[in-house]
Amino acid sequence: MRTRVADATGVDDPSTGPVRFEGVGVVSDGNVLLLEASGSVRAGEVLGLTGANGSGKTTLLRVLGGLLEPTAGSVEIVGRRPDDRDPVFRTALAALIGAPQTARDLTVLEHLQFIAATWGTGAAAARSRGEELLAELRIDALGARFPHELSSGQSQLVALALTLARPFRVLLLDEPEQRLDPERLDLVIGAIRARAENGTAVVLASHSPRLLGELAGSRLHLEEQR
Amino acid sequence: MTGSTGGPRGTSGPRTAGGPRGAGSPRGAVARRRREARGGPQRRGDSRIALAAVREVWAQRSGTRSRGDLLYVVYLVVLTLLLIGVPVVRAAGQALARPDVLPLLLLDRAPQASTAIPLAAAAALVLLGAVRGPALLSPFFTASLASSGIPRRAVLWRPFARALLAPVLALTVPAVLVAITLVAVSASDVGDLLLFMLAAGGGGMLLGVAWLSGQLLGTAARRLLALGLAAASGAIMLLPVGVGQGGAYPTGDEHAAASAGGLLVAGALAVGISVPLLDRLRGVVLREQALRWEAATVVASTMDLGGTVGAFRLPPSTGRRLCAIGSGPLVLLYARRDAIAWLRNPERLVGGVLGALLAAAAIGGSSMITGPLSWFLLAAGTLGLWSASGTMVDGIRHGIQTLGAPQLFGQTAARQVLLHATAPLLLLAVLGAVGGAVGALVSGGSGDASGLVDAVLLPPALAPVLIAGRARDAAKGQMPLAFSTPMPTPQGDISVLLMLGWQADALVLALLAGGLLLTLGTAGAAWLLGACAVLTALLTMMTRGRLRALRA
Repeated sequence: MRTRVADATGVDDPSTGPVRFEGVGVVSDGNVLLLEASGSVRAGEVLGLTGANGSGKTTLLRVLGGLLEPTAGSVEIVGRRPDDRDPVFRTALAALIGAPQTARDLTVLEHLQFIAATWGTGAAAARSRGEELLAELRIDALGARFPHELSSGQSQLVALALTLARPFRVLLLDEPEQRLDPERLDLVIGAIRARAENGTAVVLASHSPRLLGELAGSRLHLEEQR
Repeated sequence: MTGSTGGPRGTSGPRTAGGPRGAGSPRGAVARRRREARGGPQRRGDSRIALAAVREVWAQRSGTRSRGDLLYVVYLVVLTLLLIGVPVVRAAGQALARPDVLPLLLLDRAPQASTAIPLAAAAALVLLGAVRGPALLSPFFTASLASSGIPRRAVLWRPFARALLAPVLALTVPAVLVAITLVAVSASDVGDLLLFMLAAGGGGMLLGVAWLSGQLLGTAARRLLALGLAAASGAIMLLPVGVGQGGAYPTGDEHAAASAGGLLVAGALAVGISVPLLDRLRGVVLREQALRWEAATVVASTMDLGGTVGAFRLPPSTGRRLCAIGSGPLVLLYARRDAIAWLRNPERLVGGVLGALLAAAAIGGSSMITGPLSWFLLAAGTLGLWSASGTMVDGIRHGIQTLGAPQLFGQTAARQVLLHATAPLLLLAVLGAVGGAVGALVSGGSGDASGLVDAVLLPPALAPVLIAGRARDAAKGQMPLAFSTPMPTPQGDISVLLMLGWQADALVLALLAGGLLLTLGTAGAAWLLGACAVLTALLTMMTRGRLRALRA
């Protein structure tokens, strides 16, 4: 079996970019989880989702990530309907929504290596890429640790590193500032900015005015559902 | 209440009791702690008072069982044993007195085997002690009683004594069964039966102490002890006569009384010496084991047996520097990652490998004999191989757990499962072939070449079926709520049958597969391999269906 990574170029609408959603709503058993959200993100742009707890930020991210079917509206990621069975969609989108599922018996660096290797990167290149990621987030010292040996703040940084270890053109992040001290927040802001400058379309939900102020070129405020 | 009541209990007054030499200094505090740890007569009196108070408070809870309730339970247990247990064991023993069972019980090496098996069990129990030891309280009592000033032996001896029952019964019941079978054909007498039973009781106590040793010892010492016991288990088979429990094997050995008496005294002494050692149990071990045990029992109470087993999976303990990710095709990438993951939990791996070898030997042996013992060996071997495979399929479980989360890996969950299946399949097949050959040779079938081939082929043919069954089981999801809806019938609520059926379906399928392969194996290797392919394909399709349902 050989690694075959799908061509993730997709077909973007040049007027809107790789992320487009129109009138997206989610109703579950009569409960409104998200009401009519619309927007688009161009390559290299960062869209900040804001709103109170329960306003639907995570729900919108889950819809964009293909983890939840919207009950209204339409979504396109690199010109495709979100569906994790679609290899083009899978290859294009990376998301940090909740803690990623780690393997209990791989070290942090091996996780990064393994993820890169499953996307077709050679073992040596995957290792150096993993080491670069750890250095970028200044968690080099955690490379040899197993997941159960991390603190909650360290786990958040490792979760971000795992998400960034794979290829993507669209990046979804749900409150990446969680459990981070101000210094670490700077590192995360720098890492996200670097991806955006490389042409990634970023959608992030956040309660951090600093993170939003530093990164979000545009914002979408969601109203609390009552 | 004032603070003065704490005075006589020892901890508030040591500044004066400690004498003039630096009682308030760190050195004085250390000396005080050492004195307290040693525990003089007053301290023991204090602990008795404290325990009595705890019991009084505990007994005042609503719904507490009274002394009468406890006596009633004891009465019920004794009556059940006498009226049901004894006749059942006796009838089973007589039913086993068949021409296809007796030769095995009368093998020259049967006494040695009756010692080797408990020794192997002792090695396994030493390793089990690291995960769940015999001296264990609930997390609440661990935090309150075992972490208090009361000596740990005072609060842990009861759970230890209760836990001893398990290994004692696990050795005694089969010993009685073997002896009754031999008595039924006059190959033994009641006196031998009693001696063998007493020897098994003593051996059971020693097993309990081995279990406690696993809880007490550090990693290196524990592994060394387990290795020593496993080696002794093998070496004992080379001895010309049975020793220990084997010395009391009910075939009229003249030293049976000495062996039984010696083992019983050794067991009782070992248990007696173990009680003071309960003080040496570390708090962190007790706390972790208590939390893990409670988590497992809570999950088990929701009928999630997979989750229950998962609660006992220890995090990796070694091999951090081993290179888990290498170059090459994806199959190799996944297989290497899985193999290194096994090496990082060596105790679990050794347990799995030994379990698979023993189980395969039982399966291989089952194809060489006939009658109820053949089916018993097949069932025990299939269950053993199923359990052993559980230590090798963490990769498959992880692949399935990635479902429903944003995609990190380059392969879908289904493809990850397929790639993660390679390494466990290979290992289980190889262990199956080796164990099957050993089983065939031990059961005395070396004279028949075709029988030997069947015995060697049967366990590896079962391997892909079990791995596919593991994948299917990992993709099970939650039990449908409809299954827990009460289903009243004149015979009572039968919804529990549905729940048990749903929970045990993987085991039942494994057993049915084992039975089918054994039956078809007698028609030839082609039938065996064909059935293996069909069953594996069937289970793979069922796994695929479950994965689709989970994704939906």
